[in-house]
Amino acid sequence: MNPIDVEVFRHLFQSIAEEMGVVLRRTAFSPNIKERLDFSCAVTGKDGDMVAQAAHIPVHLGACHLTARCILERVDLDPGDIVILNDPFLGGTHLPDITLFAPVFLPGQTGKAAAFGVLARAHHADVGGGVPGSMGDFDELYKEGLILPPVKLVRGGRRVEDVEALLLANVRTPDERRGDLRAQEAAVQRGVVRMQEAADRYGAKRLTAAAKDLHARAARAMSRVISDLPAGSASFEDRLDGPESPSIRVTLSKRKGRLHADFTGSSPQVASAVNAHESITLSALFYCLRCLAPEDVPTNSGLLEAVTLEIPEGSVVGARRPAAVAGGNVETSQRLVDVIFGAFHELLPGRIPAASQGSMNNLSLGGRDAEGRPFAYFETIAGGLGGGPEGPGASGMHSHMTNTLNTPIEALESALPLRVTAYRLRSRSGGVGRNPGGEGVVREIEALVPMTVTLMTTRRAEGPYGLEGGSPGRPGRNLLVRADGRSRTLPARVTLTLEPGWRIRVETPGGGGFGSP
Amino acid sequence: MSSPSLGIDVGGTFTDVVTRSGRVLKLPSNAEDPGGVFARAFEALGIEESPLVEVVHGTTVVTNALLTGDLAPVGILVTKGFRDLIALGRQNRPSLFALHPRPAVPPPRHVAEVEERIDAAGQVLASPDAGDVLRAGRRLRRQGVKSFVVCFLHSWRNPGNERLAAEILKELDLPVAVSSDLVPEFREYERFATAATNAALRPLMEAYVARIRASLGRASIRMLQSDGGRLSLDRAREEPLRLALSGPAGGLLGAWAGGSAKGRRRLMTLDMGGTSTDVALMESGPGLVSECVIGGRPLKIPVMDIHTVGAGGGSVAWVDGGGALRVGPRSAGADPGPAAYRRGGPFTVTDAHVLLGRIPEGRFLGGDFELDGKCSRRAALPLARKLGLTPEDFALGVLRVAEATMERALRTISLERGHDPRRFALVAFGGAGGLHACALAENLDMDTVVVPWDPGLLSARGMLSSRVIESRSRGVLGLSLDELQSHPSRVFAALEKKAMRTMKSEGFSTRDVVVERLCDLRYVGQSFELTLPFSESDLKGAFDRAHEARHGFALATVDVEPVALRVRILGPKPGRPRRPRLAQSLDIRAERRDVVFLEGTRRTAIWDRADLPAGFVVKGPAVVAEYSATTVVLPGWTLEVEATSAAMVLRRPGRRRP
Repeated sequence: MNPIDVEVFRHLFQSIAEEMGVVLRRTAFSPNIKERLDFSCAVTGKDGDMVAQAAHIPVHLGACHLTARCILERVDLDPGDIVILNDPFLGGTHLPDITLFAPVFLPGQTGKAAAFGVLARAHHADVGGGVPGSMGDFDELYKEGLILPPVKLVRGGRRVEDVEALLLANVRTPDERRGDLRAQEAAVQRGVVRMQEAADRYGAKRLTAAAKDLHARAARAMSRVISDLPAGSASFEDRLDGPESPSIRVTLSKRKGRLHADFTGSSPQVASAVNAHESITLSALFYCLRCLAPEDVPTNSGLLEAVTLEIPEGSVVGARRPAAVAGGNVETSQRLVDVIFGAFHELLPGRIPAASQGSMNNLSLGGRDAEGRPFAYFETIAGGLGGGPEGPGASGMHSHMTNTLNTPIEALESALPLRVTAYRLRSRSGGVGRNPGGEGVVREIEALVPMTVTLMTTRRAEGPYGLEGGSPGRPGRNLLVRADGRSRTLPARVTLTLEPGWRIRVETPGGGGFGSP
Repeated sequence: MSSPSLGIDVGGTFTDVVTRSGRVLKLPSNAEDPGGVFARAFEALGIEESPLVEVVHGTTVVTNALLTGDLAPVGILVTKGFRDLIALGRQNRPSLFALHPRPAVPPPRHVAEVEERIDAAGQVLASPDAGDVLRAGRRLRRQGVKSFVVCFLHSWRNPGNERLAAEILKELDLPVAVSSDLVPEFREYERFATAATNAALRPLMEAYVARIRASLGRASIRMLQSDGGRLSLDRAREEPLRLALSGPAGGLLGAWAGGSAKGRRRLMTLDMGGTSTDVALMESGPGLVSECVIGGRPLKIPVMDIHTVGAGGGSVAWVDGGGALRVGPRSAGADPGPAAYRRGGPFTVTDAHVLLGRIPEGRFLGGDFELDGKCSRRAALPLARKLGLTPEDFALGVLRVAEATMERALRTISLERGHDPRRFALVAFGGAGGLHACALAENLDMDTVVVPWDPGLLSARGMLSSRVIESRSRGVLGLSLDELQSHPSRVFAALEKKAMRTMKSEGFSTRDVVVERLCDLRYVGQSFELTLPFSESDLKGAFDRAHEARHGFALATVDVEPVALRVRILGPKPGRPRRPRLAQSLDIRAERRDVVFLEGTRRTAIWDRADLPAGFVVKGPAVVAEYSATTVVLPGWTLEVEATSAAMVLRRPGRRRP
């Protein structure tokens, strides 16, 4: 394909993924999707490879080819179908992330299989399970919420009402879920229409050829990044908080022009929610590689072409059913990035910044409001970014595997029986260094009715690491403040009930410092 | 009073002047002395300064200040606990895969907290204490701030605490503003940031207005605001933010006035300049949105719905690491400019046109400015060789890639929002719009392109058709649709009274004006609103239909709630400016040159627009050159000079509208 068509088609695929995102955002009902944009959209190819993604949330998309492949293997797809899933071990991430996938059949395509696919993945504020928000710290998957293997939500253009009814009967806020699911449906349907229009204009053959070519270009760009790495290997290890404090270890090495990432040495999977499975680990690696590749490279599965992965089965980064994974997706994924970048720092000195906050500081809550209506809410809180060779780390910003927005306080307080009593930067939390780490955030929320709150956080014991002589950022801290002002420190992962007037205070980690001060 | 006599659009390089009688002037801008340019324009056109001469003025000073961040220090007083609310923004990073993410704008430097709180229902939980407010104010004053802005949570619902604090601050002898005055709507970050930015622009605008007044004291001057309305100098000084999209708004007014003749009521616009391209969609007039982002700063004010992408004539062509041809976002700017400027510049979109023979050398800006095709070719060679293409194929490729970016922008404003581009005509203006319009229309399957009169001065011309507009809004969360529809006067009255008071002070009576009532509606539980004209009948049905058109589905069983009410009071419509005088003689000739198209090289007629009489028809391929712009008529297209509008209308015969 000529170098001009490549650029034209790249715009085309990406604009389709972006348009799906616009539809989803504008029609969703839950604050987590409509205000915080905790969703992602992508276009996949015939064999499931990711062709294009809208620049949304890295942890959603790095391994979306595994989602598409799993569906293609297990489900007989026909035009007008939409498949729904959230099973982490069958193409999902963690249970709250519900994915809708639609095959795209094109006029003039060769073969019976769908020529493309489109998918929209969104984090739902509740999918049932032991605690409101479905982000509790449990020892097995079955307690985390409703599990959806790949099944058809829409068959030949008609919604399968039984599936939707079963789903809605298992969640705490069915009306909101229904609204969000309709928004996801509208998004993937828009994607299918746009892909078919593109085929009318350019022909199915050219679209397929363009997808292949873009894949090859990303692969070539990544090969150049790998060939610029020095020979040899580098290892890095870091730990997660909590009673088991499992460690994560990676060894990166260059062999015959390929990058080998070996996670041997990581701890076995644990009886808590911080297990990551293969697709989370792969997403983290994909994110790191994308950051190292030149900015102009297309973001698709081609970036992984020259990469080999070794993930020990049954480990905390390669967990198997029925491991609990709610926190693996949001917390362990961040630590995976810290570990992978830590190893890259040895290979590429002078390029990699110190560790960022390393947590998403997940806060979920739920209960019944004064009128007895159920509510459930989920948010993540920004922190400090690591200082780096190019300058100090940014303060109060989301890092690495997430990039969700905050919910406006005026919107939050209008929708839920709570009051935000502080939201500001956490002074002197960034690690000291020539280029200091950014400051973390203080967020304090007061309950106005009794409610259950769950915190899923890490970097509470040790702060994010500094590099080249910089000191680590300050670890985060979770506090309960009672109505009378007495306070106590809470564990990194906890579920508790707040009485009216009680406050939960989350202080997020600062970024690591870079260079001796 | 209702028909301005002069439109003056001050850009970075040139100042465009258009009079009601149709005279035009292009003068070099002078940032140091904006008033002086006015005086020179008056002198050159032989106009006497008097209160009867009304000037409408558009300017880029506000836009530039926003882009460069050159803003005055402002002291921001916020609710205790929320010192860093503006710095935190929405907590996301602008670039997803950056190794070293940076915030889009630096955090505000002068912020102080005040103990006070209002809850979501508007109940006062704590009132600000005078001593506390004064201490905070004094501390900020010592830091050198030039004004204060008070930003308290939930003030859109109950502005009491903000106003109380403002009253207390008056003692400190600095200007004070409150966030709920400028933006009485919910979402605190956007409201606070908008109010703070506005306050930071005020000293700049005060000085600007003073200089204009000093040199043109006797003429009546109004400024063009971002929603296309005329604004008094006093309001412009108080709310400079309203000028953020002044020039582009003039362009849309001009595109509507010059492109909408003969029953063409559905237009998409393509305004292509040196570094960027603005596109917009109009149905029975320019559309408005209630917020935009400029230079990373959110502005919650009514602005014309304009979408900007970083592809312009100066966009630089390059080959990326993967061997694909890329164009922009880097621009060659005015210096060194494109390679054809002979100052060692890189190969740009403009060079691609020059190399293909589409911008006739020696005709650029009426021949005042030399373009050198040899320089373009020399700059093309290494890149073309790298891609294994001939220089011509390379240049055609550069145009296709640049057009892919522009096409994506046009798709965003049409298809993404539920509009079928095939039902629209494409209005091309700016220096380069006409060079790409046919190709873009073909890509979107559109069959009509309109190039209005004076496409390079369209913004100044559009200013002549602007009306005085006073708009006010307020948030109304918690009001039901029923309440709104059964007592509309009650809820709109306060807004209308306020807006009418301003109109009266501008010399208009209730008889002169038109009042528009609008409301932002959404499904209960959603976060995105659609703005609809208020009506006492079936608003829910109207919203369902609008939602279906925009997003592809409606929720008949879900309730609709109003989120904000808007009132626009429009002054009288200005009279039509005199129609441009077209050439009379049919005895005209074209020069012929080789021009390269996708179909191959064609001997092509190069016409001078000034020669073309009404009704004149040209078959493509052809090129029409004029002082400030060039239009390419692709093979298969036909151009006709329309007598009523003086616009050139390009059509693809044989295409049927859906």
